[in-house]
Amino acid sequence: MLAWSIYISFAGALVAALLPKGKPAAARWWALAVAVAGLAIAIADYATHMGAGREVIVDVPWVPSMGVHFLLAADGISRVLVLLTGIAAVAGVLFSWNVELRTNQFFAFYLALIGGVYGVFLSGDLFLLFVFYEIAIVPKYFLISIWGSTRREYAAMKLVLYSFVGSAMVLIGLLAAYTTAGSHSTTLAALAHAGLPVSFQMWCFPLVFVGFAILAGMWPFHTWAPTGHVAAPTAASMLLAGVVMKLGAYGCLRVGIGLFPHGLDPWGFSFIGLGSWRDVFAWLAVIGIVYGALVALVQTDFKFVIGYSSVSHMGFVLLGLMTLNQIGLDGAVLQMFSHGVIAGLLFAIVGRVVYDRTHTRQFSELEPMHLSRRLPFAAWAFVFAGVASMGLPGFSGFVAELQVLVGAWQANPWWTIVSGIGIIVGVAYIWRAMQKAFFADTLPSAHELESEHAHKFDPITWPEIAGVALLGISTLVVGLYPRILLDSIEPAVKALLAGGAQ
Amino acid sequence: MVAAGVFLVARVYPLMSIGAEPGGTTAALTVVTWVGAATAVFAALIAIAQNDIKRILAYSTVSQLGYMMAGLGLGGVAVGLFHLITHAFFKALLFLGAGSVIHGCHEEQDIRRMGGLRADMPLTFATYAIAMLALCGFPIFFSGFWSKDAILEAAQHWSVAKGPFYLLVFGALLTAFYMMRQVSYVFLGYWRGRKVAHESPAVMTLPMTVLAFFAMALGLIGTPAWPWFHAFLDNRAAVFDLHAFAQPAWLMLLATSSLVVFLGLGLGWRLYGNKSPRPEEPDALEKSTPWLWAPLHDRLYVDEFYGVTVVAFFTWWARVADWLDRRVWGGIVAAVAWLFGLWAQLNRSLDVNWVDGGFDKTCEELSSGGGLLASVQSGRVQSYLRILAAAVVALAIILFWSSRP
Repeated sequence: MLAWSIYISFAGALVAALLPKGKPAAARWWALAVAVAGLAIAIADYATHMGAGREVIVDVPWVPSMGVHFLLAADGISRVLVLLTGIAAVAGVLFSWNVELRTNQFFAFYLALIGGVYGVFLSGDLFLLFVFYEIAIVPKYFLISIWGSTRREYAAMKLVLYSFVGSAMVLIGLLAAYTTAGSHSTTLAALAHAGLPVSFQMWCFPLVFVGFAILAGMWPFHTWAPTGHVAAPTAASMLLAGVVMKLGAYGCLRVGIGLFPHGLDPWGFSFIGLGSWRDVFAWLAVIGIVYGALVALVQTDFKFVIGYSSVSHMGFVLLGLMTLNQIGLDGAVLQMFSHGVIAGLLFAIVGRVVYDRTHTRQFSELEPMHLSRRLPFAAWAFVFAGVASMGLPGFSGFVAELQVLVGAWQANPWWTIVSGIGIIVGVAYIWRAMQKAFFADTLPSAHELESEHAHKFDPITWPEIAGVALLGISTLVVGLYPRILLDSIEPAVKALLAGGAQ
Repeated sequence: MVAAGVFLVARVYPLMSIGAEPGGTTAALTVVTWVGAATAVFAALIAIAQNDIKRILAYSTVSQLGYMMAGLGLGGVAVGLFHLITHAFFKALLFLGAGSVIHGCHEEQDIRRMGGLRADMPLTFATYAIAMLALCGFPIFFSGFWSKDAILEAAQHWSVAKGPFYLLVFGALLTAFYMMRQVSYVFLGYWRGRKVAHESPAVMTLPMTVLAFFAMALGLIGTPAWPWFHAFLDNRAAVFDLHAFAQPAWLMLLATSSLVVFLGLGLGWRLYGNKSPRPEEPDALEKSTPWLWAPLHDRLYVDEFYGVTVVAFFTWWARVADWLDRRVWGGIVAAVAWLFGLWAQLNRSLDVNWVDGGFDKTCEELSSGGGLLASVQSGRVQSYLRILAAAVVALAIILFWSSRP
């Protein structure tokens, strides 16, 4: 059943492209229907497979001469991320309701991107995974370069080049693994059991891991992320932060750690305190957490703050992966979901609710606008999303980051201690953005009041309220009752760790 | 809310006291004690030189939190939490009273612009006075006396050092002093504000009356004669024994703390009682000891200290990271892009000069060769026939030649 989420997204994209140009409403409702259908499938499947093990959905030979299968499979990790994709897809459509330029094409690219993302999360075959991964990159370019803003062509090109460099590294690793394993099959299960030599894993792991981690925003390969997020139209930056960065992290986990577990073994010597690739990537993740938070602290553009916060929060995912223990990996997967929802909400508020009304994202121009009074809905929503982002208990980010930090402490206490700085700065940059954008402490003059009265902002529309509610409830439910996801994540992580240990 | 930190320490007290002998202490508890005692004096000093009615109370709270921490470190959970509970009542009452005063004085918070409210707001004054005496630890009749005495008693018997005891006694002196100063400014003397003050409505005074009752009566659950609270936490029945009051050590302590309280109140009265200085006039302490007043009034530069250390540190690093992203990483990306551009230019020039050049050359050769052939196609029948004749002759020769045996 889960496979239909892929099929209907691509079919939906095709239909959207064929819809008449002059009727944006039709394209909107069509995209919403397709996205809701995808979410419904994800929810239904999740509800019926809570805590279930790995399940093969479709398996047909695709390129028999190479042993490539069209193999779709799902375990707890995949199901959680498919659920996230469903939520993000619906929210993205809701926050794109005011797209008037070539609406049908916009949603065609949008749904194609969603289809590619579903495909990556459900692929059980390395070659198929790679194909979906590439499919997801192309629509991103068009979404940013046609419907984007600030330096959109530069940002789109930067993002695509980064993605393709990463893909090229992954492709080399993929071909090397395939030939080393004896050129029989490209399914993930077959490659994991092929007994790839340790010396091979040692060089192939970093290649593939970095290839995927570029898209997960790993420092110092992160610079595409802030510029890309800022240039992208609201829905695209929501998807970029919400699910596309997770593609990278998912690849790191499923392919990097799943296929080359011995790549994380100690080198046998140590260089400036680093004794394995694990140490290297864990420290890069820790640096990313602190660095992203610090850069977010001094931005003058509202959206850049959120863009850099993504780099910081994705650092937690990568750090969780490098703990290689149950609780750290649980936290990493949960953080993928949590950040997907929270970052989506933040980008939606900044890009759609605020920017489309104020037409500026500069704090210096937002400060005299008294937005807390004029856009109380935006202020409330941002406070909600902000405290979720800084990891307040009761929201999903707290459970996820806590688990990562506990897991990291078990692996190396210094990782946790240094990351702690990132959390403190995380509170500071959200607070600063909140105050500068919404709660600047000046009373309006009579003249300002008059002009504010004359130029009222457009009222908040129902799709915005629905989108904020969807994302807000998601983070709250997971924060209050994390077992709803952890019950699925835990067995899947356990199986992955056991598979990697052999 | 700030008491949450004290509660947290009380909760982890079992962890902190691991390895302690009966009557002994641990390194963790010693740290808690010293930090608490130092906080009690530090914040009380700052409270002396503030002019905002609520800011005085806020620093007083910090000082009392220090007492609670010291109580936890010295005497255990029961001592620390007893002060937390009594303090909750009289400090809540003080803040409500301050609110009532601010409301009555038309949103004025500066104690220099108040005065004489004793007559204008009698009920507020009465309850405020009760809370103030409880906070000072006025003997016997007020809850604060019993809870603070329990802390002082524990400090007196502490085996490690006598320092915390002296600090806490000094803190008690300061507490009595700054509260006397505040009450003198606000309720005694004559009115120095702008509009006439008025008493608050019953909706404000009624809760204050209830709290005032507890500010006095709550001490009963923790007296040495009937230490019900301590026994309750230990899950045992409390024994009522009046003889506990007759012990010389306790009487000695009673005398000491009473002396300290009266000394503090007396000093405060001497400097501020019924003086009612004009708002522009410098404070009595400022006049007598300006070198002491200035740093206390500036809150011992704590905020400035954090400003130049923590805040400056993070701001600086944030700028460095931002610069790295813009210049270094952005620069590397730009450099890589430029290098690829250069490479592409090179390839293009190779294409233009060599590949295309070669191709063009070939084409030229071909076309000139074509020109040669084209000259044959002249359209003159004679030359065609001449070529034909030559070809027939050549063919005949070849045939003849090849057919030889």
